Amino acid sequence: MLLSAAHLKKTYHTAHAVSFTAVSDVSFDVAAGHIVGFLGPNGAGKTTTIKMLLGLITPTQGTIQINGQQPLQALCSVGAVLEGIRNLYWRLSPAENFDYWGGLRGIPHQTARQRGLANLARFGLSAKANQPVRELSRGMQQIVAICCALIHQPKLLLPDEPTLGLDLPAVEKIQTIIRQLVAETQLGVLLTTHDMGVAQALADDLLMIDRGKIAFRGRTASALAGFSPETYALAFTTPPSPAVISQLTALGTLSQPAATTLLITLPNPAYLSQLLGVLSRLPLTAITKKQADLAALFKHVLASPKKEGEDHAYRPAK
Amino acid sequence: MRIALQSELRRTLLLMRRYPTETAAQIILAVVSFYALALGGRFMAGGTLLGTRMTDLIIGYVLWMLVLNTVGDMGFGIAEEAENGTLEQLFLSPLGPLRLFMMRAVITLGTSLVFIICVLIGILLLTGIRLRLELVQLIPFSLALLVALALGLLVASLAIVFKRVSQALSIIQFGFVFLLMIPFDTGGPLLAFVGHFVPLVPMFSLLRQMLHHPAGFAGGGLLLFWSMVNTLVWLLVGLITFQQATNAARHHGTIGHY
Repeated sequence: MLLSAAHLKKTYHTAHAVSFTAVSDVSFDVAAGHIVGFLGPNGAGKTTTIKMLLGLITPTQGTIQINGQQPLQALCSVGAVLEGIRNLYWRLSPAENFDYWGGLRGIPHQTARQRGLANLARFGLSAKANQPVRELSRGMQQIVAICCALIHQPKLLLPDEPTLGLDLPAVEKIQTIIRQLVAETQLGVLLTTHDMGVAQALADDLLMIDRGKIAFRGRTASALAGFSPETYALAFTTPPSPAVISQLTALGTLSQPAATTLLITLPNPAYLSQLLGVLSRLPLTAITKKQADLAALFKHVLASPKKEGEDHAYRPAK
Repeated sequence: MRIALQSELRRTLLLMRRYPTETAAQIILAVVSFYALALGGRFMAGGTLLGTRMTDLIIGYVLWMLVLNTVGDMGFGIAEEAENGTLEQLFLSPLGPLRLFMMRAVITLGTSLVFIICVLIGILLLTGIRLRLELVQLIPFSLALLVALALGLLVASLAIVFKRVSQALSIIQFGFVFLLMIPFDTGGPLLAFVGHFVPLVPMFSLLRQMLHHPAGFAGGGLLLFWSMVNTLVWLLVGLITFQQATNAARHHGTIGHY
């Protein structure tokens, strides 16, 4: 296993002898060639966990092994893009940043520059290689930071919110390139993100954390298949009458996102036949079943009462 | 380590070239400050610190500036990295923070020496003085630079834990001058003993004696011994404090905080 974290805990003690546990009994693995989506609401403990993996925060308890080594010994194998900080020298150009950050990892400057420029070219930003980073857009700066994190050809990549503030083309480009890198180099990725679309598109496995504890883990495909709400979008020719709404409310949870559209979520598939019976008498133009999405699963997991020790057992394929 | 050193040097020189007015202004300010010091500087240039001759003053000023640059650069440097958001990435270097910041300090010393030579040329041109240096004076000079590195590590430790240390650094830098003006040599045996452990004091004493008595003087060996002890003690203090500060910052999760 490329990354193994076992029973991680981090407790902070404040000046007034009050303790706060940011992360409690978190265990997970990341295999080479796999992308694990690390999700959780704000303040859940994601960044604390990431920083413990990087040796920036000392865990109160627990063990971490990256490529068979402790975090501080494994830094050559890890690349990170940290959220909320610059990660780069803005007064230098991307090419100069590649020289510098590669040099700190023992990469000769010509090699570091070539690798960085090759990564930059994948993103279509070769023309910006010699412009100071402070003159680039937010999205371009983020891309340069990702390129820097890959300079030393790490085995494990820890991007924390890599698509934050990026436009759609840039997001899609990052998704494509991460997928390519994983396929080409067996890179392992622990992707921290609030963007459910990115997580759903990229992650092979999901890890959700809430209030410092693992709330859910599983394969993305099976999690989404297993969580498929019986939600149907009903498109009417004219706005439905109160009587229609009342009939449908008796069958399930109803919402009205538009004047002529209703969304109904049935408590279980058994109600489907009753729904169809009601709908057969109504002026509908379309009935569409809503596809499961990660956002809905995420909300469902956060809203579910937590059972002590609950875990969805899985082990990513080796 | 060699590649990292080259990268760090390249970055430093790049920034100096890219912002030449900043570098030029520093040189001009240093020369002007010295000139003001020399013209009105009986208080600062008293024999207890920098010797009675102008050459003493110049050499003392040069050494003081090198120490200030090293100490300031390490302290302000870390605070600046935290403010810029690059400190955590620096901590992810396989070199480790101690080797990385020591490497930076060595480069700062090197660039400061070049900078100081420019300042020295300016001073010599303004004062018309000719400087006669002896090779043996490099010994206390080099030991003083090592202690400057150690003090830099102490200041870096403060910066890693507290981040915003600019005011404290200013107090340390100038307070240090007054500390060095205490007459440890002539204040009695207890003060003399204490003075052996005050950073840079034995080296300054040794350098002063060398400047006053180039042919040799009694007690030089003892002063050299205490200079070496002083260097060793402060290097150990600096290294241990830096390691403890880094561990504390990791424990509290405050490396990236500003």
